[in-house]
Amino acid sequence: MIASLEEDLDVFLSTADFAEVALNGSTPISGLFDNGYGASFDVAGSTPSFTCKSSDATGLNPGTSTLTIRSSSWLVVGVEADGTGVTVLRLQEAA
Amino acid sequence: MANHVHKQIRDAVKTALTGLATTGSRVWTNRLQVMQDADLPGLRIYADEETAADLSMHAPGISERQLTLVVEAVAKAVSGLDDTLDQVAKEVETVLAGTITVSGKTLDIAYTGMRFDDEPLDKPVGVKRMTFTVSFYTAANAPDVLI
Repeated sequence: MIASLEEDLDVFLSTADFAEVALNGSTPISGLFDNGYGASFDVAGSTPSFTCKSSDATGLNPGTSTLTIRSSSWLVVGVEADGTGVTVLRLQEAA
Repeated sequence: MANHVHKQIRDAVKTALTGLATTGSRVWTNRLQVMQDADLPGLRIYADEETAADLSMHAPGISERQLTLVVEAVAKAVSGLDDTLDQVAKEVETVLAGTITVSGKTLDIAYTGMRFDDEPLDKPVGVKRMTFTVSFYTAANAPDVLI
C-alpha cells in the first residue's frame, strides 16, 4: 500500500503541473511551495513550506540545510515526514 | 468627561516611549495591533490588570489603584533577535524608571518583570513582554480624574 503511494507521488509532484524545483545545493527536488499568510503574536508574515517526497528530503537537517526556491534562499527549520512517503519542509528566510 | 485614567496612562506612556532609538514612532496602545514588517521593531502598550482598594468609609469612595501595564517589545529577524529585544528593553526601562506624568500629575511606575516568547514565521518573531505597576488614586465615581 505504502509502496504504491510512493509510486504515485511523481504524479502529484510533477513540475508539469503545480510542483516546482527547489535546489538543495545543486540537487533539484520537485515539490509544492506554499507561502501563505500567517501570524504569530499578532505579527503578520507567512508560513513557508515545501512538500516533497521523503526520499528527496533525506540529508536535510533543520537549522543548517538551505534550499533555493524562486531565486530566494530558505533555511530548513523543520522536516516533517507523514509516514506515507511525503515530507513537509518548514522554511524560514535564510540570513 | 475625560478618558478613563487607564487610557490617559497608556497615552502618556506612548508619548514617553515614542522616538526611542530602536523603535522610533512604531508605538501602539492596542494589544491587538497586528504588526507588519514595516512596523518592526515596535512597541505595544496595554493595561493587563488592576487591583484596587477602597480607602474611604464614605460614598463615593477613594480608590487606591495599582495598574499592571504591559509594554511589549516586538521584533522579527533571522539573526540578532534577542539582541534587538534586549536593546529595546534597555531603552524602555530607562525611560519608564521612577515616574511618569499623566494629565499633569506625577505617578509612580515600577518595573516588575518580563516574559519572553518566540515563534517561527517567515522570520522568527520575538516578543519581550515587560510589566510595570502604576500606582494612583481616583474617586470611585470618577475613574477619569486622577487625585
